[in-house]
Amino acid sequence: MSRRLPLGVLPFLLLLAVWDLAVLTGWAPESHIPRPWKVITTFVEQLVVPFAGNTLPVDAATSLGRWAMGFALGVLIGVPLGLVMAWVRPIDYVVSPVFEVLRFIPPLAWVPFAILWFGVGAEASAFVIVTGVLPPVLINTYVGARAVPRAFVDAARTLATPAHRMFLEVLVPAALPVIVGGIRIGAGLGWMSLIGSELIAVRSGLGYKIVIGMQAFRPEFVISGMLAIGLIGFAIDFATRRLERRVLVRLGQAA
Amino acid sequence: MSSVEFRGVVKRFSVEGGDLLAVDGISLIVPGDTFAVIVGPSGCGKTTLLHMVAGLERASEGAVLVGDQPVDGPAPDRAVVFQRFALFPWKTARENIAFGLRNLGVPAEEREKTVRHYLELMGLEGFGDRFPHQLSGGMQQRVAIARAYAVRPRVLLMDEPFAALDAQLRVVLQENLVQLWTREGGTVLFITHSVDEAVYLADDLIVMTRRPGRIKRVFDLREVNDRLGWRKRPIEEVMQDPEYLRLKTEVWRQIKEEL
Repeated sequence: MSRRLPLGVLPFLLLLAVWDLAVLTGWAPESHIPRPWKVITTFVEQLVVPFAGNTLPVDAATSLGRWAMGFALGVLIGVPLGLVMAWVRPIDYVVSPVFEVLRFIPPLAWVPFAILWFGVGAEASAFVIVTGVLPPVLINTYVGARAVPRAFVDAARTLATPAHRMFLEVLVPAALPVIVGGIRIGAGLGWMSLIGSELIAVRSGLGYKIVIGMQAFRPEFVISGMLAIGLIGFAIDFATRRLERRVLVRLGQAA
Repeated sequence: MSSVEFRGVVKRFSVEGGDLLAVDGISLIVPGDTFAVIVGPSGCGKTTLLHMVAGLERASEGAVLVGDQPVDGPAPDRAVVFQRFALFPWKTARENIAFGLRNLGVPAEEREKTVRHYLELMGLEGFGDRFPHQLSGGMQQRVAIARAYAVRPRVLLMDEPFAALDAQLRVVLQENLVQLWTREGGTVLFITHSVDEAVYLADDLIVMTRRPGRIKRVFDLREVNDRLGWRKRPIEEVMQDPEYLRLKTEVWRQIKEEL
């Protein structure tokens, strides 16, 4: 990791150089895109100076809070529903066709509906996040639960395994690696859906900050907001990857 | 220990475009405390037979009896050692072996004693707290055998337990199994592709026909086994024995007709 880090920084430096050059040569007018250093100073400045009502950390915390709520809700709905669909045929027959259509509606398309239902505010935002988190969590849970090797179940059946232990100690751990993969993907999609919802459905958060920056013709605020979104998304993915890895190790599926 | 009896057992599977006759009219008695080995070509229904004894499959016609009781669903009096993947990867060797005992409500102290006993018998001391993926293939299968034996089954069912192992390891585990069985007893129903393995292990060696599976021939090897003391001799020595070679050739000829 320590040896790879300098190399990983290079592409960013290259990007900054090309970007700066594009502005300097006038190929990209500065009214449309600020010079990189201006974005960086704006970003740093915003850590303490409020813009659009709040400082960057406060907006980031607001967004993260909404994400956490929507993410938790999506997992709490997706995992049990996926398990039930995988193991209870009639429910599978009823839910699957509907879900197969719904899952292709992108989270952003749910925003107007969310506002109609919940009004402008955190609930609408949480709803939109759930529409992003739910599909990968549900699909992976379903697939993971359906793909439990029959030998595990057979072995457990021949060893007089009672129903609760079959569920908790055989079926769930067997399906968990795939489920956790879905949770990781859902976490990232949820974060992206949140930002989408914040463009319209709320009056705070990182997405809202970008919109205000656009309306004020201040591209440096837009880009520094985007930067914050990217960095936090990266952090979420990093954390959930570590979680996934730990789960796999605990389940004896990785060294 | 308990006998296993097949009474006119027929097994059909419904597949696309009709029924598949897997097993066609098997009648056979395996007396208690017998090591019975079933050999036959791939797809001859030998695993199906074993699954019916385990209660994992139901006979379409006829009945399977264990100790005069008709089989009705799986139960730990008929423990199974599967070919592969059947150890729980999220449980340590110790937890795997103890799993059936916990289900049966065996108190922790006794459970621990039993687990230790089998870890020792299978040469797994010091490996109890490893997860399956931290064990070699041979060790994994030893844990599986220990897990099956630990619930003290009346019948031990083994479905090509050594098929996934390399040749050297197979030999070691075969010897290991014979020692274990000599010590612990019980009725064993063992399925294999390997004629070598079958002749070395069997009291009763049952050769099946190609699908639909019927019994082609049963060899009673008790007499020759006792006379030559195969189970007390190292396997490499047994495999040089002219009597062993003759039997092997004979069994091979029977199987070859079915390929």
